[in-house]
Amino acid sequence: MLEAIGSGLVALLTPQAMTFMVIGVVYGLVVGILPGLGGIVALALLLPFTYGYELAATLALLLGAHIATIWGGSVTSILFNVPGAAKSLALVFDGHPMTQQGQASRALGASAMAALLGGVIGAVFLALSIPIVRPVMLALGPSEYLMLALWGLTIIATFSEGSLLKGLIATAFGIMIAFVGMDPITGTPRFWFDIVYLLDGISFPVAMIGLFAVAEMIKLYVKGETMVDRVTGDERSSVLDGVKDTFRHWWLVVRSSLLGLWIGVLPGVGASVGGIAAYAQAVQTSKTPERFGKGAVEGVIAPDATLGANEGGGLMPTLAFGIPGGESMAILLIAFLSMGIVPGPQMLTTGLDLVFSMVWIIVIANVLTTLLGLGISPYLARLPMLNPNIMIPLVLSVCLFGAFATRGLVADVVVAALFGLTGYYMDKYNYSRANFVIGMVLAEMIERNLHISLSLYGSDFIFTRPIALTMLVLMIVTTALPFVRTYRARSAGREHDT
Amino acid sequence: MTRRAQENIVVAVLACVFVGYIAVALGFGPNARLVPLPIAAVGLLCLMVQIVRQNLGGGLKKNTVNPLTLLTGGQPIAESEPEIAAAPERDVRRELAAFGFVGLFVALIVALGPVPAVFLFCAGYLSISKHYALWKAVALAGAFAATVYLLFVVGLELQLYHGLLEPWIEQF
Repeated sequence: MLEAIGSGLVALLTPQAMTFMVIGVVYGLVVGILPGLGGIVALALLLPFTYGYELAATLALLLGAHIATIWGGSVTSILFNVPGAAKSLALVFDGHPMTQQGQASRALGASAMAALLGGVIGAVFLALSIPIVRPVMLALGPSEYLMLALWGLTIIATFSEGSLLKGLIATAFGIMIAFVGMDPITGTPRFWFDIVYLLDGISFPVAMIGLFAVAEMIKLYVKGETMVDRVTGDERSSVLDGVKDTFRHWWLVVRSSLLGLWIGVLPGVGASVGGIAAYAQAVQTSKTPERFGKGAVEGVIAPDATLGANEGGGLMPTLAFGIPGGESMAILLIAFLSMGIVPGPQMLTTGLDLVFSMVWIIVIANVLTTLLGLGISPYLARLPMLNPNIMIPLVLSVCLFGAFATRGLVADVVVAALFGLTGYYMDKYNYSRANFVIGMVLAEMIERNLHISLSLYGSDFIFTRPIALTMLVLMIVTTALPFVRTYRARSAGREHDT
Repeated sequence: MTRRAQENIVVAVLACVFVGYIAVALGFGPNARLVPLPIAAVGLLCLMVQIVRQNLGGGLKKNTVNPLTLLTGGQPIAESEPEIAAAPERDVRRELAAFGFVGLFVALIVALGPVPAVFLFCAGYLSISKHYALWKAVALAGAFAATVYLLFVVGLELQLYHGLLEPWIEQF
């Protein structure tokens, strides 16, 4: 394993990998700071660039950008009172009051340092979890992987933002779309309607570009003219104050990071829940909870540490089981697959140096983001406004050009636009796009493992494989739990009323 | 149109898609439809339950659970999904405009190829939105189209598509 740790780092020490890392971090910071874009759009736009470069360099570009968008999103929340992404919502509660009090630099410094410490804790967790997870993974067979994927889907639907039913519908819809094209098991062309283009199936990167990036541009246009605009006041703090605050509240950083790890490991529980949960625990454990909401620095530190650690936690199930922790992990998984990286047991055996490259990327990208962030924070604190009029045509151009670049097919541009429309309406009516994507990604895993299980163990395989059966029981329990709790809560409410 | 009516239309459209999917899947062999058929059936079932729930009194609000309370082991709280009375006229107009410019951009790419389409779309958008004067919009769009060209065509060695109108343009 020590050898893998070393070779993982060496793979990153090439000029291409380091350049891509810096490009990724700078790009991630810019996209993250622009409200309405965020990490998902940043990753979707990078998908066409995942071909033709060194593996470690491409990973550095993707993960570097992803990590930088997290802090970029926090900047928008703190400065403009507009969350850069849903997961940065908790930063608004105390970050913006700090800006109003002339302490924007302090808030940005605390935010950057907390994200760095959280990110490093997440990377260490990912590295430490490998020897623990590896024997578990090797003990699992196709029927267990099938149950794991199905369980992941139901948990994702349960925790999806909005309605559970809508979450399940979106998941089913995503799985259905993934079955368009040639069936790899039986060789049957499915849902192709005599259109040759559809025989190859819907390209996942094209679908992601449409579903997230194009849809976000439509949303931004519909929302209106000015995105954020503020009057900049006197700045009475320094970035160093925020850095000191983070170290002063080290125990809060550790607690929040552990929470971020736990939320990252759970499939489907997005970082948006993580940020709020971290804020809630910071309030609950504070000796002076009345300060929260009025500019308490702990209200900035806790969510950022959680968001930073979330990535290491989220990568673990994504790499080990091929089950993404959230929508950004689903897009990363799509990128991994297009780069020939197949998650599963071999990732933690033959592909161990690649996993450690990712661990190193998380650490280095976090350090780079923090250094850049601390450097630009004093200037960001004086940033007056952002205008979407420039952003919409430029981003939309990259989206549609990127869709074309994925396979060099002009039909992919049309498909990206159609997915953009679908994504816009899914978002508008609260059908989780994350569930749709995760359904799409897991469809192949479900179908393949079901066919293998049937041919290896027969049609009653579920009853002959105790681990799979246990997982099935757990799946039923975890899906039924929200309904039971809702029913109990309503019954209790009715009894209370009478 | 009320939010409930809009939600009902969405469910109806999705139900049509799911029913069509099931009808097509029934034509496949048993192995090829082994997963798609039950998944679509489960999805359709969820849609049926959804349409019933959202049309009950206060259904749109009762429909949701709070993931945070589930995660922290607390009592689930119905999330406030406001029953919006009607989409403002302005939003509908802007939606149509957004779909229009996305459609126009796609049409430009199909007709002229991606690079000229990027230039024309950006120049048009920036000048029509009155963010820049025409000459500035054209200059920015030109610089951006050149960057995109360098990035994708030179950097990624992408084979460009020259558009449906290429034979016609070549005549001139």
